Amino acid sequence: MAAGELGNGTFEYGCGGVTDPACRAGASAASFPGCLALGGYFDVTYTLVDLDELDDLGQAFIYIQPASPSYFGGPDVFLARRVGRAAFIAYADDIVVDYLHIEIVAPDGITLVDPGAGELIDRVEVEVGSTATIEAYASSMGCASLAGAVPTTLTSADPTIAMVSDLTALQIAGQREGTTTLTVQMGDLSRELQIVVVPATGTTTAETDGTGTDSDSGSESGSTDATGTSTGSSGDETTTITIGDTDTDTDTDTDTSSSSSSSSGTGE
Amino acid sequence: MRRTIPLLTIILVGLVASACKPHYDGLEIRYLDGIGVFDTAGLEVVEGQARALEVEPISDNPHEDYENFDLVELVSLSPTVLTVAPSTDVDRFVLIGVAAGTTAVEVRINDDKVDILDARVVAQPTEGQ
Repeated sequence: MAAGELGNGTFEYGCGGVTDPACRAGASAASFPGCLALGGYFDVTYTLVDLDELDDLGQAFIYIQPASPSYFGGPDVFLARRVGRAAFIAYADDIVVDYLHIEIVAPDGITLVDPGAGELIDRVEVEVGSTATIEAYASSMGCASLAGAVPTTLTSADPTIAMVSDLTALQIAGQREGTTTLTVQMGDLSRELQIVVVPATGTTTAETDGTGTDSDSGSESGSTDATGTSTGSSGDETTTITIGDTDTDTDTDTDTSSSSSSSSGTGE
Repeated sequence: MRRTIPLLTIILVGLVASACKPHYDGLEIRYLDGIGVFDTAGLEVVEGQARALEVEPISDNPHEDYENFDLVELVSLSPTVLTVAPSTDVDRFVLIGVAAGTTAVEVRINDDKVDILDARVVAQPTEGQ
């Protein structure tokens, strides 16, 4: 939470979805974020310090509105629309009881995390018939406490090896033994994740390299992993799932470029 | 003589009554964020942002000042550019920059229009600037 600038109450941040970095692993935001990701969804509520003041004002409830609709969309959930510094206004009827300013920044990277180990990843190993869960968040070099769920699209280069299996979490299902690439896209940013599907032995792990954050926009290619496994797609279809946007349909598209043998991997 | 006395009484009562009423001579404005002061250029706020201010009407009647029960209202002539909202104290208002541009704010005291203030909503720097 954050104190309103008029000192009459506190603003609380509400998570916008599974890709909201302020609420990792489903936790609620402990504190009000330092800035919001452009294109990110979120919620904001307000609590008066002295609830009797509502009676004094003759009002029954308080509502939040952005100072300008060009910076924040609404009203059900907020959407950060424009880079800059903008305010939320807490109203009781037409009376302003408080306000709070916050920065909106354009994300410059995508962070991929193994939620079990809490470590950054760029490669995931999953058994045939099992699923591995990852977390993906927008990040910004200029803001350590970025927030807002940016709509995310996951695309498996070869769904016959691994496919995205869940809309509410970022889950990857191993289909058959092999290696493929998962592309995570958030707005103009994209990041590739190497998926290695191994025979079922009863364990599923997410490997880490300790880096994890990449500010490239989808141009990672050229390296081959230590085992020499090519990550080129052998199929001619991809699966795409979008999380956090209004269109959450699962699409199957023909990928005419899947014959190229770009191998993901470190990407650093 | 008989007619003169009531006439003088009426004039005197009228003069006394007008002397008991404050006469508007401007608005003292103090921004609560401490950034900048009100000047003749008018009210100013950045697009997308909010600024609280306190106002106090000034009377040029040496015998009568405005009191707390004198109701001051600020009304934006273009709420799509600038919203001026009342706040939790009677003398406190919040300027809200809705969209970059210029407008004016009408000052009303006890429902009487007494002044017009220029107002400006300043655009934020765009990306890359």
